Amino acid sequence: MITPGFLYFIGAILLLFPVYEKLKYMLSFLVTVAAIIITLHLIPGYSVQLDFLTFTLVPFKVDNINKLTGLIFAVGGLAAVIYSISMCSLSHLRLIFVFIGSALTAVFSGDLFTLYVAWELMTISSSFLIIMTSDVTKKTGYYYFLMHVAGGLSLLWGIFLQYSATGNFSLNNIEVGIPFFMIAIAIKLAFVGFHTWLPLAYSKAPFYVAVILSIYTTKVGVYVMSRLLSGINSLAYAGLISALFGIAMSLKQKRVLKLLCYSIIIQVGFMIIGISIGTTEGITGAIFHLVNHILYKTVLFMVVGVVIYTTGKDSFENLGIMGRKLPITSIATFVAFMGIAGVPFFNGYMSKSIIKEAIQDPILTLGLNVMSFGTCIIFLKFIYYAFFKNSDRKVDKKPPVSMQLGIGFLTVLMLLVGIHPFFLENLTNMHVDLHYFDKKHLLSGIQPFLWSIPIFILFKKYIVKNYERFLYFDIYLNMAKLFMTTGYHLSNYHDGKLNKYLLWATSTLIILLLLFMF
Amino acid sequence: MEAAVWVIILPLLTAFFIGISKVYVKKIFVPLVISSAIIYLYLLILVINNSYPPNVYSVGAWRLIGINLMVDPFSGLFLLIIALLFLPVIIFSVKYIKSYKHEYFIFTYIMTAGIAGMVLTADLFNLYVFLEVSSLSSCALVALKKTNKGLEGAYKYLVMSTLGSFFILLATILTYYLTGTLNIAEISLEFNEIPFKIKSALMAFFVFGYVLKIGLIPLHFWLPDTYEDSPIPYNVLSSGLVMKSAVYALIKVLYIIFGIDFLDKSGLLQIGVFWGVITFIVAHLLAFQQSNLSRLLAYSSIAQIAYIMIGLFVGTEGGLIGGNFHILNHAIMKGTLFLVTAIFYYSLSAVNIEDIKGLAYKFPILSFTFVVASLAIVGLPPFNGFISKWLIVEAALESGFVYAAFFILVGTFLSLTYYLKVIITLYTKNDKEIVVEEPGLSLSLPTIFLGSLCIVFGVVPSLPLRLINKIPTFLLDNGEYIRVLLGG
Amino acid sequence: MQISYIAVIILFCLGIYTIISNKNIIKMVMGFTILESSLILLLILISYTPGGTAPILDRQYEIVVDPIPQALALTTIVIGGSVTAVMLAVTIKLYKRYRTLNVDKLRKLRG
Repeated sequence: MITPGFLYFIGAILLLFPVYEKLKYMLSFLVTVAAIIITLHLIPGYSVQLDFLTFTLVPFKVDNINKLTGLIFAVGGLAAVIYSISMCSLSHLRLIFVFIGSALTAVFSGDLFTLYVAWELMTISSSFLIIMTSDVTKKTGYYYFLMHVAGGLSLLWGIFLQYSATGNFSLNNIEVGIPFFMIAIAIKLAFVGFHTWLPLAYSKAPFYVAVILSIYTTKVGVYVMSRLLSGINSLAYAGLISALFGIAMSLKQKRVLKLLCYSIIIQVGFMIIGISIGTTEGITGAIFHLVNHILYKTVLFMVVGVVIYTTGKDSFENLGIMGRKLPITSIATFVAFMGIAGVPFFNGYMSKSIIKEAIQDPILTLGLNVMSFGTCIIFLKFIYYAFFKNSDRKVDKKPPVSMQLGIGFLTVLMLLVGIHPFFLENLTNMHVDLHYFDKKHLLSGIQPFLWSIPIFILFKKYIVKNYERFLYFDIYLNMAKLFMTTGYHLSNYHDGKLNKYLLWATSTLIILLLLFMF
Repeated sequence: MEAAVWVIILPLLTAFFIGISKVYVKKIFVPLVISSAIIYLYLLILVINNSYPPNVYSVGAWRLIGINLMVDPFSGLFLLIIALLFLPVIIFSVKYIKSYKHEYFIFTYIMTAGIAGMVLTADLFNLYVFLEVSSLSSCALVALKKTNKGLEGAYKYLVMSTLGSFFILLATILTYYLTGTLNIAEISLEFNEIPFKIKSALMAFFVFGYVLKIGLIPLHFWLPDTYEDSPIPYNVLSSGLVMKSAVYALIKVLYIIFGIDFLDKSGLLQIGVFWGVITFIVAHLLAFQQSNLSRLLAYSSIAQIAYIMIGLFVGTEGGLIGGNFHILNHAIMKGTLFLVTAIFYYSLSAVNIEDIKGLAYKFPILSFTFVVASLAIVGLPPFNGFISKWLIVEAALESGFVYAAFFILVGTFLSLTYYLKVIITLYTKNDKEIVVEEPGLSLSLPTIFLGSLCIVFGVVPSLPLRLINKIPTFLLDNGEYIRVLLGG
Repeated sequence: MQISYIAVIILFCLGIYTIISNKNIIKMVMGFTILESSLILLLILISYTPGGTAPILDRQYEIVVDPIPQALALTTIVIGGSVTAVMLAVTIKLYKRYRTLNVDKLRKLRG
């Protein structure tokens, strides 16, 4: 049986040959669609074993959760590849394929070793995607690569501790080295304090790269967290804090892409809370939220991409081009907004209700409502600029058909999930005993949205205002400076004086003799 | 087993005939060099195949009185490295080296003979002689370009390497004085009766002498100097073989003559691991500061040797396997990096990191090879460096060196900082029009061959591990080695 | 007999001191030569047996000195000679380039 991740790798290898433009389209379409079909037909319980060195690895293992995650990854892959294919060159397409393939491999991996390898492959391919796209992203790529490798090494150290304590690579029952797994996942899902790479990378990179990165990077973190660290209740509060931080930061942004970046941090907060509750309901809710989040956040990124493509800049004023001239984009924006706000009959509502239902703690319930409310406020600002503020921007060029196709595809899916929430449940046999459309849930679902509209209108002056950059402090840059100065001083000791060097050698000899003789 | 003798003799003979061809027949030079290298490859494969079970060949049938050559898996690994590196480097150098061509090849062949001798011999004094042969010719190679920096580096190298050699000679003479023999196996048997203190002092001399040639901190300073302005294909052999042969000699002396029990009791294992940790952290810090590409790679070599030393000094089976695998991997990865650097130097005399800006768009395949090799040397999956580092860390954890295992991962992060710097410079677009001399196939094929090995050994590590897995039996239990050597 | 060993130690330390303390390239090479001679002396001393003659197989003499160290001494002399030769060759080239024999002036390689 061929795995979906492997299929993408084959696609990347096939793209190594000199390929004509038409063949490139054909090949990408074939690979992405085939991945969806294969993932749809996976049977939960199936696994592959492989002997490597002295270990027995399980590089491929299917169950309900990762089948659903893999499916949405494959769908996102199709949409993103269609969306970006007219803009990206062959080498970028190759890297994109490797990136998507490794993300799928990570999702379907059945042991820590494979997970680590796929994890690092994701880091490598995505970093090179950022580095190679343009000359302004070099430093960003450097930063991104280092952050993610630090996370990966933390994961590796956790794996080593776990392996030496238990002697196997099982994904369940992590006992030793939990802090290191936490750091690794925190970096991947941009937890507050470890989030610095996310706004930097997504706002600097070209928009089609940002679309692809936003689908996979943080979501793999969420998936792995649901596998390794589910049920640590105290993490729920951490997720809450992270989300509140995200709300505060995103209100102050001047660029739309950065707003979207911080809103990822908020949405990931929802998932962290769901996973940390640890019950089946909570985890299912988190995974459903992951699916929904991929759908609407990708659409939002794509829409902003269209804005950048047509006007060249992602300032809020440029959002005003939406409306009659770009009908598909405008509809998609509206649907995605309703989804992210959690309005009933749109897709975000379903998963938020499940998570809300799973929570027992009143503080968390309150926090969840505040988070939904904050999200609504943020995106009302987005909608305000897009539809209500008159803008004299003119659209010079139309976005290509492939971009609109990608957006349209995901919008249809969003509507489908929103109107018929049982669609996702039936797809994977993960049933939550919840009546989505009874009065209680409808009321609690729509409340934050309803509250946010009058408050937005009342405080419009403050929310829409342009804030100056108020504080930028990055502890990692300070650490890097320490590293540089230490190296500089050490390097100054090597000034080429042979006698000094010989003295070092002799003292080493004396130290050695003393050590061994006494 | 005559092939084992020919492994040493053939390069020496070739060196002699190259000298003759310079004076009399200039036309046969290239065919001579290439055909000799190919025959050499065949001989090496023959000998490596016979390395398990170990074989002893006594020169001139003098038995134990005379000189014995022994091929065991450990020396087989080094012969394998020679086999992998030598032919590509020779093919590469035929086009690359333009001035002092004959001298370059003469010294390279003599150096290889010396290394092959070190690896094969079972006699302590011969070890010293071959060591001197290889290091003297390698000094001459450093000075070959006769530039200011090259000569200065050669002088510093000579001073340090000679100092090391004399300490090794001193230790060898003292060993003979104490035991009355030079055969490694017999020394090992006699050593049981020598007092602990005297053995410790002897070991200190051996360790100091060899470590001077290996280049752990603070004995490392000559190493970057020699790399900076020497013929770059020589650097491949230098980092892959000359440094490694000193590692080989040290490990052989320590594990066979002194025995693992003594090493443990005298505290050398703990000291060695600690020394390795210090070394690679300082080397990484220093490497980040370099602007010269060869120098950066040299510091990275020091760090990688430190990983190898940690693996070998952990003193368990897993550690020896990991360390030896890393020896092989480092030779391949560093070989690839140096060859790509050499091509950059050949095409537009790029020396500094700034000079290679934008070259990725001129040489896409070579740059990709560079990226693969540098990611491999950093230790990211799915390349070969990852597997050997994994084995080393695992072994260090198992035998209780938790701090060493942790710092190896920190070191991985540190090494990424400077390799990524180089890669990013490589992929930054350059507005300047660059005039490039096209490297032909004879330059790029060896490079790509070595680069592809990085991926092959990473995906199928069992290929070299079949040989490497047999090494620990003969090192951890020196009784086995002694039995084979004396029985032959 | 014991005094000669002390001479070896003195020569050895002297050689190392010469190498470390001198800034003149030629004098450093001399230090290496001294170091080498001390080791050769050590080899000769090891093989020495009182009243022994040269190790040539002849029925006339009962006591001969140990032949192996003598062979080693010869090899060491050859190696030492070649080391000195290479060093002096490099020195000549260095002098032509830098116009000085002071080691402290050889400082192009740093960092």
